[in-house]
Amino acid sequence: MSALNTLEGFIHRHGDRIGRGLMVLILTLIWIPIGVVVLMSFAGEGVLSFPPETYTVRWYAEVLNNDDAISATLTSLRVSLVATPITVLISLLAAYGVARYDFRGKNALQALLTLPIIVPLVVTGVAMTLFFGNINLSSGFTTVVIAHIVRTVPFAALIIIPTVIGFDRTLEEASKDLGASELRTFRRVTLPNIMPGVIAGGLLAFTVSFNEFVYTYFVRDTATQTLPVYLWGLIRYGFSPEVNVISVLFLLLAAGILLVAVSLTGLKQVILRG
Amino acid sequence: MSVLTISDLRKEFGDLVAVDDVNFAVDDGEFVSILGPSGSGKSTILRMIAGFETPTAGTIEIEGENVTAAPPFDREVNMVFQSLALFPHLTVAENIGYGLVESGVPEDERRERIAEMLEVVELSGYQDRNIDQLSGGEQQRVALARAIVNEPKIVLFDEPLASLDRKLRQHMQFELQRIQEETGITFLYVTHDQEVAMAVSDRMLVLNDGEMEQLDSVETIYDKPASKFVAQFIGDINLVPASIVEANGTDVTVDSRGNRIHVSDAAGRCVDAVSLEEGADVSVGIRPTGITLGDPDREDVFSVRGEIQNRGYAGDETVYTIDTEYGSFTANTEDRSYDIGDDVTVWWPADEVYLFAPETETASVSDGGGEP
Amino acid sequence: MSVANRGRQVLESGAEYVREHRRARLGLLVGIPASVLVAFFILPLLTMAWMSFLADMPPAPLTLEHYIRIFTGDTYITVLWRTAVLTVQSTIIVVVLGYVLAYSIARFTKRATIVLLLIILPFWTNYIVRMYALINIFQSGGVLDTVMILVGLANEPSGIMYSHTAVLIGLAYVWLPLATFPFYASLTNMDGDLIDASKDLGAGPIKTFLRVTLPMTKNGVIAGIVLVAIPAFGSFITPALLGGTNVLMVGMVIEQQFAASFNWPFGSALGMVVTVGVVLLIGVGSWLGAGGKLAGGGDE
Repeated sequence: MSALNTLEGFIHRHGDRIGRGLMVLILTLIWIPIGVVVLMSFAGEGVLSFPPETYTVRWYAEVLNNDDAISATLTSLRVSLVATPITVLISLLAAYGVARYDFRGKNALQALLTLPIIVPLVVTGVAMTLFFGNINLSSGFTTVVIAHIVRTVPFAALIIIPTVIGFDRTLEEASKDLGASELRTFRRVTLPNIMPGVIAGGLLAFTVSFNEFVYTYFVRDTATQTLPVYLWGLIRYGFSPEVNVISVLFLLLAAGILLVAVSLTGLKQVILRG
Repeated sequence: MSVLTISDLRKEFGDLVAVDDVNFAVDDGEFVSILGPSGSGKSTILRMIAGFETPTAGTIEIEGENVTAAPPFDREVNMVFQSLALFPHLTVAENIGYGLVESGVPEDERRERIAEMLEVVELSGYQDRNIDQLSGGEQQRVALARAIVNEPKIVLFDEPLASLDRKLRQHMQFELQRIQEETGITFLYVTHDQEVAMAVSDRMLVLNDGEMEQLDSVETIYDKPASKFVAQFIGDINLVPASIVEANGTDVTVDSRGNRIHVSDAAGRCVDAVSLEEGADVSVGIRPTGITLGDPDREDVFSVRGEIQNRGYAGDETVYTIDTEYGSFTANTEDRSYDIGDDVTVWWPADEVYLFAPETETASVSDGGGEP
Repeated sequence: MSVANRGRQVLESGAEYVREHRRARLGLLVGIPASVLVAFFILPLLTMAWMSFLADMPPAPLTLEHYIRIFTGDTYITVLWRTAVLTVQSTIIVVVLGYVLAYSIARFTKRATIVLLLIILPFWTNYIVRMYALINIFQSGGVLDTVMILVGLANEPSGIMYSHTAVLIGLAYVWLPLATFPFYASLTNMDGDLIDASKDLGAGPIKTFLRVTLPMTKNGVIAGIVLVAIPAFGSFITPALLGGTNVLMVGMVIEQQFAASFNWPFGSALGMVVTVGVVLLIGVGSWLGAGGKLAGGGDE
């Protein structure tokens, strides 16, 4: 009993310091591997020696001159830039339906919108391959885009649906009262107000799509090589200094998108829904 | 015997001095209020007594034992929080029994004491209710029961009644008094609401900017405020600038624009450190309840003409606002015969006034005055 | 009348119909998203379910042999068991560390925003990149070896790649942020006065945690567990990169059936087993009261 009391007293006095200490420790452990990658991207010796003895930006130049890397990046951008707007549109339609109408199967629709997050990616990836094979849709750009849409809709919907539900409907009623049609009301009143949420949803969709690997791995053909697939190949079949550079570029991309998303919707939104 | 003794208690948050060398003692079985505006440090004092804040300096003793450094779970005080802080995941009985479990009371006895306690707060049979099934008033009672059931030396209240509407609040005030009398436990009640404090407590401690202004019985604080702050904070007061034209020991004659009154035993009417020498400036204060409207029926009164600006009702009394050459006056009286716009004489007798140090603009004039 | 004109007329009358009929409008709003997901997500899963009962590539007779093979031989039971063990272990690590992290941010940190950004940024970085970062640490002659030799805990580089430990750390590393957020949310939603009240009533910090904080954040904890356990159970990148063939998890075996063995019906059956496992997990989670909180992110 008294041992427990002593411990309780000790934690009462020092709990905050212990907690902060553990927090710093865990954060350090999270960031050390990333820090090492950044450091190694400037290593003069290439990959296998830590810590580096000389530093260089040579690998960055090499990646920029590597046709495969550039082409993979362009493929990724093409896929994401086609998939993201379609995803946002689909999410917006679903959000508008869920927020504005009561209908049978509303819960089923919302479940359907989260299901792709829950089913293991390997399983869905495999299932898509089977399905596309069965309907004779050959692997390529189209199948990759479809896969990316299925992958990103749940994330975009997760942000866009609450945004539309949270929007003050009396503004719409005011607009209609002033003589605007439903479509014009949507364009002139609803859309401008929900825009931050829509953009945040789009950014999240783009991020997920640009980083997407598992679905793509299964449904692509050899011509459609996205950047994560290219990276996978580099890591699986021998290392090269390029990997560090591409990793740093992914990190910078994440940081950039995160900053935009946070400034648009606030950190709480990003954390609690992303 | 003092159940609580606070000595030279001080709390600083960075540069801010929240509590500035406070001293007081509370007797066993007393009901004491700590009264002050928000930011006066009253909640900080309470949280130091409970053990949630560590004092920068000074000591807190409970029944003679120094508990200044003890953690909250090792002190025989219990708190009723402003938010009530009832555990939403526990039933009424589990909430009330929470502290009993910690002190190792066996289950049978626990059940008995919880039932007794529910009787005291008039919630018999509520054991298995959930917290969210209770009304605001019922939640207050559970919070109170949860604190009292542990039979602490002191129960601390952090404005728990603030969220209730007026009627319920008044009812709970009576309940608090009743329960305090029944249990005989010392209550220390923090509030910014002078009405509540005056209604429930035996003694009040008035705080301003972290400093103690006065600790006295409720009557004494109202009748003999120790400072202009106390006088203004506990009930309204009207102030008139004046100067002393004749001084004879503590018998003085005060003049304000030709209005003269004779104040005998001026020392007893002095609130602040006021100079009672001839020529010294003072502020003459009068409670709204001390004012009469109409022609004075005696000598030696202070009177001034004015026009009724506003009238309102407060129970049996009518509250008038009167525009005079000294500015706006407030008068509480049972006389309802005046209307807005009426010209009226406002007067008060000399034995109802207080003498304050003059308003700060003229403070320098009264330098070097003798202490009363 | 030209074809273009007639086409425009048809479009216009269609648009008018949609404008004036609530059901048509609703059908358009809900129908498009629903049909996309049904066509490209539900139908593929149904195809896979059907395939798992086929003896061979279609056309072929129906059979249960793949399921029997999974649950009778040692091979796949071992893989499933290992997958479950790794899932449980990594979830425990993530829950403990994530709770400590969330608690410290919620209670002891003034700059919560910066710390949260420091946690979310790695999470938004590409999954494969995060795995590669760990390879740098784990590989023979990597950072871990360098440090161990430097402080005298090891004599020569050995690395911990392709081990159970490596996969376990990898899973914990990628899913830690995901559990931290629901923990943090439920901790900040909780009224801090409750902790003071508990201490005031005589409970020390440990008992206060067990009697108040933990029960009050129970739903957040369950949500965090489910959010981590689901992707961990189906993971494929982490064991493939950090475990290799030494630490086979069921996700990798499924991939092999499709990419290397070309036994699609058997791979489908494995996929069905994993899916049912995940659905069971969610069922248990919502039965325990996490309810609607399960809708969160996931990103392998």
